Amino acid sequence: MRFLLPFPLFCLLLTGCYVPNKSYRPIDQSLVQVPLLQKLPANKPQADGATCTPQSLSVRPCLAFLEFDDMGEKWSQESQPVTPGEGIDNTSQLSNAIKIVRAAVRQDPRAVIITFTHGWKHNSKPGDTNIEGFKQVLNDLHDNRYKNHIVVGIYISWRGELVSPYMPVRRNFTYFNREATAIRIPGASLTDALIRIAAAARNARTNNSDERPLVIFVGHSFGGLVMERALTQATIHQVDELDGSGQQYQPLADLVVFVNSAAAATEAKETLDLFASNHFRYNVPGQPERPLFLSVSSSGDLATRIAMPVGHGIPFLEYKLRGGLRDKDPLACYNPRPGDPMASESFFLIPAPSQGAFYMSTAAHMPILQSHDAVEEKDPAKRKTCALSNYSNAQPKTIFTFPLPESGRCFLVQERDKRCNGTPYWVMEIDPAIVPDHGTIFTDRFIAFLSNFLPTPRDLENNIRPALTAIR
Amino acid sequence: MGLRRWFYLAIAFLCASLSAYSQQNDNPQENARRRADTIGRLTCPGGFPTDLTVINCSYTLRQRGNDFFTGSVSDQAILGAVVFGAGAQILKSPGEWGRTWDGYGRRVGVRYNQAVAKGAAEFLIGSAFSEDPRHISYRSDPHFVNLQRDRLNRIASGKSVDRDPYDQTAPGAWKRIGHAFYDSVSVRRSRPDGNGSRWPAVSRFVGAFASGYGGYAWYKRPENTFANAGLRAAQSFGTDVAASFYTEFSPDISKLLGAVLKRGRQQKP
Repeated sequence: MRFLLPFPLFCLLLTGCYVPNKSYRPIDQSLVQVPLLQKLPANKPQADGATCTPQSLSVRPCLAFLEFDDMGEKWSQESQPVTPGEGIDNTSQLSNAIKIVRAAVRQDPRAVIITFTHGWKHNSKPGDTNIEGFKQVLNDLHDNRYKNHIVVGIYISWRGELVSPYMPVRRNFTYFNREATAIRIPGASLTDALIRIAAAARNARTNNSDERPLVIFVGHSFGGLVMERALTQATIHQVDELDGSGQQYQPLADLVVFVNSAAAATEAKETLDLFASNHFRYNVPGQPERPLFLSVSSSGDLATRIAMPVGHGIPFLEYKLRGGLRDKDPLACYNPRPGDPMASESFFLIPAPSQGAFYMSTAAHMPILQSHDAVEEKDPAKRKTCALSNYSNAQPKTIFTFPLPESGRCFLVQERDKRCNGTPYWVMEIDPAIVPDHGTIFTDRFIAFLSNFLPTPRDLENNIRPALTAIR
Repeated sequence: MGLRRWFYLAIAFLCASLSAYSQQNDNPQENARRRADTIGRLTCPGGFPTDLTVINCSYTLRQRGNDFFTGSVSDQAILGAVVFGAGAQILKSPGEWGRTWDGYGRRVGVRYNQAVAKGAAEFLIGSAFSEDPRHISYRSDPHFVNLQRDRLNRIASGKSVDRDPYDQTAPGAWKRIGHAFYDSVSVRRSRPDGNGSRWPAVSRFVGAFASGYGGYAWYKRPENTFANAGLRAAQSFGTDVAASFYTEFSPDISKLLGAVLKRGRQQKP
């Protein structure tokens, strides 16, 4: 029996090692400048830059942290309304974030405001790989794509990391717990924070010109689930006020991106149904459709292709046993291509899929929800030039071509043939050459891919931005 | 027995000294020079091209320590011991341990002991020779990535290339199988640019034998033969080969499993 003695120790190991539920960014350290990547020895985390101030915005990008606890409340609460103006008063993380956004837009009406919500196994602890990656994206936008514009990043953090990485097996079993948390967090506090950040960006303009900042929201993994839940209801509340006469509406963000989102397709399906049945379109008048929501997942992402359905297996059986899933769940389709007979019609997909199918997959991995395909060009001549003009008359319609950096490969993003989803909620699966797995997203390849969905620097200068319309 | 203990201690001391020496060789100025202008241009072993967060591919002592702990001490090692111990319980191996709780405890214990021995040996030898044990696939092998980069640069500057870079992006199955074997019997030396020279995977071989002999204290004398220890070492090395194959073929496995689990297929028109 003495050989059983280690078991109590093992049990202890299996029940301890929790990552503390705490705020990692005191209010006075919640705004930091993003310096260029320092050439440090391996494994040494990049130090945060100096405190970001309105005066430093034109020099380097600024990163604001906004932390939420396990119940979805802000770690730093306010007892008073956020004061007007842009003087950083360190009353709360949200107040700091709002004020730095205001300052950015006052100084540069076309500032770039980008929020990122991390996923599972991450938090805002200094040195977290998602923070380091997000900083490099901000640097890239500031130094390359949107040169001469102020860039502000807002890192939305929650307790995605529950168990220490030194307990890898147990850490993986936190999937269920963290999914429940990601569903719980998008309550009043987070939705309010996102709306107020977007409002601060929109309302800080000093004149009534068409100049406006570029606002982008990004969610990764369970962060996609968090963002989807927080944003869709807020967006829907606003778009439902459109009267259907073609009136234009500027949504909260210019683009909302879900990368390798771990949200079940049941989340996206409701928004897709609403967009399709109300004939929503998102484009610059007279120009092709653009995405308002963009959900992309890599076909090499084991976490959302395999772990997610496996993780949903037991709840699925419970729902099934209780009769909680409909066998036929009508899916509204809408494809507004000009010249298409269905241009102003929407219809239900036949045969109707089961609700369980939506629950057991993410949107980006479901062919019936996919709006676009990212396909590789095999023709050597076309591959060499990788020019959009090669496909001007081709069907299905090619949206853009994408020479994959450092590979010699060329990808095309095309409208999916016989698609059901032609709404501004674009859904697609991408090749592992662009994003290899679940977590490797801060790469030049993926940023170059996403850049195709953003306004070009010229469009930004000329205030050419898509608007949402409903034509009934 | 006393002499043997001193012999093991001397080997451990030698390895630790070599490890400290190899860390000293990590010249910061030389590294800084190599790191210049490499942001987004480095592909570390097991990494992905154009990763913006990578500026140094060195496999540090801290990383090695973390990998040792998570792989050989943590709950991952415990789970491995519990599962494989259960398998041995079913097979009643070795026969002298009955199918009792006591027997199961011994089977789990010996496997955990073997995992720790293997991890410790790999840690010591790997540190001594500055090995970078991370498995890499054919396509993310820095040697291949750099060749491709050179070809693309030559094309961009109007020069001729030996092979079309595109044709090299989809290597054949045999090339990949060969690479998976090669990557299990050899390792790279740790270097800031991730392109250290390959040499035999000494730490893996020693680790496998450490695992094989790690059970000596548990098994009864008839089990402690060279043949049995060799068999256990081979089994242990087999897990390394399997890990290398998984690294090489994980995108294909993902594709296959993803296709099996796919929901909401589109009806053919």
